[in-house]
Amino acid sequence: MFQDLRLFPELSAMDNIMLKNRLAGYATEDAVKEMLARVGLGNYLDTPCGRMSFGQQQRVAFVRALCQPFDFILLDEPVSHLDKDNAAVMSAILRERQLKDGAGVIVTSIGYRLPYEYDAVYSL
Amino acid sequence: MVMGLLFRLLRQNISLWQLFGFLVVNLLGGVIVLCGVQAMMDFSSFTTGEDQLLSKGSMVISKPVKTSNTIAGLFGLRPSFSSAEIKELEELASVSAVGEFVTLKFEVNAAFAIGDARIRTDIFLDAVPDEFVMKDYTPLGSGMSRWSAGLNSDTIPIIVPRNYINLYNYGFATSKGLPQLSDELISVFPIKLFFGSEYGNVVYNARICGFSNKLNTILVPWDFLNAMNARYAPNESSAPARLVLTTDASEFDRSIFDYLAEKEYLVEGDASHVRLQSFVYTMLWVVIGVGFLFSLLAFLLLVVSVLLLIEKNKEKIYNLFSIGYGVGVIAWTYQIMTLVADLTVWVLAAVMATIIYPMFSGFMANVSPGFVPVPLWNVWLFALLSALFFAALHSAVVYCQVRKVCKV
Repeated sequence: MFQDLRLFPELSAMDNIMLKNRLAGYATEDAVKEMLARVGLGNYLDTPCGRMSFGQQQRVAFVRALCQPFDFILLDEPVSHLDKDNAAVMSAILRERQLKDGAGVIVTSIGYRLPYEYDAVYSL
Repeated sequence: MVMGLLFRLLRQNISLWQLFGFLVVNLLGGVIVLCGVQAMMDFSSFTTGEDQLLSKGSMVISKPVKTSNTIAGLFGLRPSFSSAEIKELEELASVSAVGEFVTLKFEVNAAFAIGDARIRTDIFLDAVPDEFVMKDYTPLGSGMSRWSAGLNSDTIPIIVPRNYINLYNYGFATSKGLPQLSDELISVFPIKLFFGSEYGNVVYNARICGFSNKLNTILVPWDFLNAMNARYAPNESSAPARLVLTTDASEFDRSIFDYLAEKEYLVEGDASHVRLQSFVYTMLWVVIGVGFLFSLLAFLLLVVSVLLLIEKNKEKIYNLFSIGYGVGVIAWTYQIMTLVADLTVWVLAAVMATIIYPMFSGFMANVSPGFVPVPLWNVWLFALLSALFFAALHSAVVYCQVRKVCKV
């Protein structure tokens, strides 16, 4: 997940995710909708990302990042513009996925950190 | 679906004015090129296709007949080419082959019937080496499979000047109320040739199997004529009065004509016709060149438009690449656009050429009887090939630019 998100502002939240998901062929459309609903964007499926707050866009980018198979996932400041509740939801979704795939998770942050069960924390 | 999303993303910032400019300029160039190419094919077919004897680049030359020749002729001396003159011609850089005309050295007359009219007349026969008759030449008429005959042949193929048929069709037949004859009909006309000399008489059947604009004589196969001379006029010999030349010079090389003019040799048929032909070819090449220049400008205009579009969408392209899209897939979006633009413009150009060109060819048919336009599907084929050629170039440019944006 990119720090600058790299979403396409003219495309809706759903289209942004499907653009990646169809390339990877990973999740079903319903599964994507469910994830969006869990991060609080159930009512924003057709809203162009350009009209969303940065926090909402972060959650779209987070869901998009999960729409592919991976052994490691690198999240660059995923919750810099999110409150604790939303960060907790994202943390739970990520944990489920990590346990399911047995994948490694690497998170960077400046200031507010994604709440997670880290094996190691490095301060640079 | 994915391609649909990509198109939605990457088509943004397309400049309709630039596309319109491309369309107009390319359409103009395309129509000019296509009409020029079609005119070139028509003209080429008109000037060379109908001559069934001599291949393109060959000509028949002779010496002019002067009053002194007439007087000399009374004593059996006729204008002819010496072996030194023939050798000099053979040594010219632009002449690849020289052949001698051999004349039948004893009497022959031909008999044939058209309607109720029975005609029997003295004629003359000549022959040239077979290699000067076009290799792909297929004799007209039934029973003729090739240009050859010997003393034992049942039927002798003959080639006559096109003028003879025109003289009959547009002069004799019209004034006498006789039917005009097509090439095919003439070729099945039975003709009898009566040969006679002090060594004997013989009769052969003959068929007209072709026409030529480049000579003023009646031609029979080389082997047949030489065998007849050997049998019925064994002691006669003479230097050739006419030569056939094959030149491998380009249509624009006038040196051979300059040489012939300097030597005062005559080119049978019409030499000015050959010069006019060369001029028309040059003009057509200029027209095609101008059309091609327009097409090239349009090509460059589309290249600039697409490069600008890619530049404007640089961030999107890089983001697509970042989330996993390959250079080829991203480039394909633009390649499809250029392919559609190129195909559209060339198909439109072909449609317009198909509409416009017949006006010109109709005029040509009116002023030149015998002008038969080459089918217009050649224009469509050329248009399709041009579209694919330019689309391939556009695709290559697009791919390189997208690759550059992605910094691969």
